[in-house]
Amino acid sequence: MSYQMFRVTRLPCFGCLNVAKADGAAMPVAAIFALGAVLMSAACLPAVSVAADTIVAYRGATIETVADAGTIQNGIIVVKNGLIDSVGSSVSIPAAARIVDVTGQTVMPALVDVYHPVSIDIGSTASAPRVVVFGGRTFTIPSSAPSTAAPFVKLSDNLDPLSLRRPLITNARYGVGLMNIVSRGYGQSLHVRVSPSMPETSIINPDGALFIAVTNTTASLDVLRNGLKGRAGSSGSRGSRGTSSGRSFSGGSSSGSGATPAATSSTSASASSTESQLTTLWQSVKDGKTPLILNVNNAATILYVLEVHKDFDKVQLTIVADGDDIYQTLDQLKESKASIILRSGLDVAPRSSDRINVPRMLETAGIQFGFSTSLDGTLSAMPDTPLFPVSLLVKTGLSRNAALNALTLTPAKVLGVDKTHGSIEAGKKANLLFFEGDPFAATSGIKQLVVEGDTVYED
Amino acid sequence: MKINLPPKSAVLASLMLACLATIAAGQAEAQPGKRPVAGQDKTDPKAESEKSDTPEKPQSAKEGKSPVTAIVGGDIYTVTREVIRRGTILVQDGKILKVGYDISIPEDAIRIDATGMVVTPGFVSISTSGVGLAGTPSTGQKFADQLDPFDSNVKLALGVGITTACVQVSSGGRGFRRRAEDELFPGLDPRLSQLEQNFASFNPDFGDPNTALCQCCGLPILPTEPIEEAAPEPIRPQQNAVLKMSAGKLDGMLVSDSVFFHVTPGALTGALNRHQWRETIAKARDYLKQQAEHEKKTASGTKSSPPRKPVGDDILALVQQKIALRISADSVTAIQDMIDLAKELKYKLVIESAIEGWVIPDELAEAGVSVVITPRQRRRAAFAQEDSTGSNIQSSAIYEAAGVQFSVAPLSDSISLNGLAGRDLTSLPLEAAFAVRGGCSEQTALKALTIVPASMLGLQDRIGSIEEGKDADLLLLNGQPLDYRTYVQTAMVNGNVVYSRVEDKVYPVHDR
Repeated sequence: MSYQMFRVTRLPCFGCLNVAKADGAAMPVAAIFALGAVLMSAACLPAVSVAADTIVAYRGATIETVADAGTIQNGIIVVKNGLIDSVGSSVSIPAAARIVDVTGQTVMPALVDVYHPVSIDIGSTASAPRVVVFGGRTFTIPSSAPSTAAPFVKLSDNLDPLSLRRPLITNARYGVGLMNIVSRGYGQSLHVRVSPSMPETSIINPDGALFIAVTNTTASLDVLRNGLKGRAGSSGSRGSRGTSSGRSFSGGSSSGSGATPAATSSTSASASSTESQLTTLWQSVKDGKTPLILNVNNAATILYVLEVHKDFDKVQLTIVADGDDIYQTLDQLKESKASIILRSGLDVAPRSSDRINVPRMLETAGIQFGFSTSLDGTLSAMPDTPLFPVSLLVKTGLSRNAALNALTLTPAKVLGVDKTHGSIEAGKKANLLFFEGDPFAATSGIKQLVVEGDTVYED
Repeated sequence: MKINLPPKSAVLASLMLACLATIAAGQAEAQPGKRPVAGQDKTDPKAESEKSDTPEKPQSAKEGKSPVTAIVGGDIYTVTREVIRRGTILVQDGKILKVGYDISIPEDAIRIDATGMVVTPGFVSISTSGVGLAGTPSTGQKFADQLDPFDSNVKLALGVGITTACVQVSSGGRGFRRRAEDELFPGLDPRLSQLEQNFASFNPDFGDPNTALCQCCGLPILPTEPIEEAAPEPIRPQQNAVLKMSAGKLDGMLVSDSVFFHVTPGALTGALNRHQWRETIAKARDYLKQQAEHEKKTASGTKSSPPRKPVGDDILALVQQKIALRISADSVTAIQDMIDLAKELKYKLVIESAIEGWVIPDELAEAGVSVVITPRQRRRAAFAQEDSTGSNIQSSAIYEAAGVQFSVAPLSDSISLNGLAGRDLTSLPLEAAFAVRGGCSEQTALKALTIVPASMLGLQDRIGSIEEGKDADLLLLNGQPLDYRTYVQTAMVNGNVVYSRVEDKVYPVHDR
């Protein structure tokens, strides 16, 4: 069953009922149907589950709460208005509740993805490989890394929510309930709830974390250093670019060129407002109020980052380690209080064929880590069975508990949303992920995904 | 075996457990008839974890001192002094604290047993590329931000004993095989063209390696009369950085970023280039003179404006003889040319690929010029060039007799695990062994790997020999340093064990 079904049933719910209250004469068909369904109070179609005061009770499942309650066998989750009302093995089910029997299934909190990059490239100086013919000979000019850091992008100002539809559909099939959307360079992320049928209302927090992609180059490291030391420029490493020859994209003197990237207009027109916005944002990062997420692709860069971070201990640092050699920095990571986001799955040690279980190493070292399903692993996940790579990690020594935490609660903590997301507890949002059986059984598939009380995907 | 447990605290006890494991492992390995494997003890995972479990730095931290490591029982090749048989080296804070016989070892010292092994200073590679740096540096980049202590080449370099390397950061301009394409398309290396690669493998001997190839047909453009001089342009020297192979640690990895004024062979040839070079040096001297006067005046209270700096800092350092000019020159004529120019303009000179330098050893010695040689490199005298004499395996012996300082570089300055072994950077000690084959003493050959390149880099006070106060960059070898059977068992950089053969997969561990 695909999302389209809910697209039909989900849409009329809140909006139409409001209309119905305002103008009784023009009560839409769907609202009448919904009211009728409540009166009948029979076991009915999912279509009726969307009325305003709906209460749903999921009965019979094994519940991985990822909270103090641990695993609850044959438990009950009562969901009311998109929130978890109560959870436990002997919870009383309200009379008005629609009861869904999920006996034999296992339910865990929906996944939280800390790092989902989308492509918004504004004024990058990176170049793709080119082939040129010179003097009758063919040359391939290799691609170049950006010589200057990317400009700051606040995603909520630049991202069309409708363009999120496809990622939302895909991620629903991966069991993700909440995503932190970032671009590939430098900017402020936004939080999105996975509701494929309503991408336009999916953004639940436009002011997410500050993120930077960092490599061991002066340009990208300077974005971090200058930001923390209170010299944030809207286009990153303004200072270090002084010596580079004519490749700066914000040069105002090139009047005739029509190919000026969009960044120029945004940086020049609203330069001062962006600057002050950035200063505020960095200050908030320094105070530990806004999380700082760094995408770091090799172990050497981690050392550089930690070197900078050690002077700013309030900063809530998360390192998205998008590489396979992070295990070499365990000692240094242990000293810092940074959280690590890894790709889920077994890695291969660089220049060898040895498979390594990096999450297990981090668990042993006592370093807080989470998984991001958006990072490609060596044995990557499939839709419907997204936890296959994690099951390999569990089979090779990662504890079940650590694996569950790394998928749900730790990412929620990293994003600062652990009060509402990341575990199955009363009062939290009803983001539930149902599996046929044990989520870490290699072939266990997703049965359904509930996001804020609504079933957004069902197998 | 008796171990004294200092009765201080539980913390100490756990440290001593670590030491105990260390000693026990050392003792076990020192069985007669078996080759000792050191380093194993130091990196024994159990001992390591016990150490890291101790909350703070133990005992010594309380007394305000960092722990001492003692390397005991090895034959110590100090390079600058005599060989110390079954001596002891104490290491503290990354430096050599003491070296000699009968040295009292502090109770809480971490012991590394080197019985039956040879201890030498770490080797210094004078020509290196692709080790310890991430990516290709571009304009505006500081290479202090580009180090990669996790580069797998760092481990491979350590595996053959290289603890310090002069690494090429960016190539120089104007000279060897650089042509128009390079300027038109930045980032394009014409040496990557398939045609040229094929051509290079065909390798016709036209004498002068500077022979330009025709862009249309790929054939060499032979010298014809008159040869048009290229217009001089500013010299862009090759950038080098001296890196310690401090595997896994950024601290102390970058030793120096200004080591040579390293120019390409074509940079100083031809009348116009030569003229411009003389002008540049003269300007630099002028500036230094003016600057000195300015400082004098300022000191005495007179008002004076500082002079404008006409040249780069590297040229100034060259003129002040803080760094040397490094250039490749292989024919007698070219070498003599460079010696004359250096004498005239008074700067230090290092000549690399000095294939024919053996013809004029006394001139080299008299001018105090040091050379980089590749003893295995062979080249016959060039056809129709009377002054060309080709290579000589006995170069090393000739230089030794004449008192010319030489260091060795392998056939390739990068690390490659493809193709035939013995050509790339990992054959550095082997290359020095070929210097011995050419007739020089083993001692001189070992110097060519250690103190000589260290002096070329201006780092003779820090590295290149085992002396008190120098950096603790040490190798534990399981045989004579230049024997082809010898492996590095343990390598230490800045007092930290950074390589251990028992953990290595490239140089296998086996008994022989």
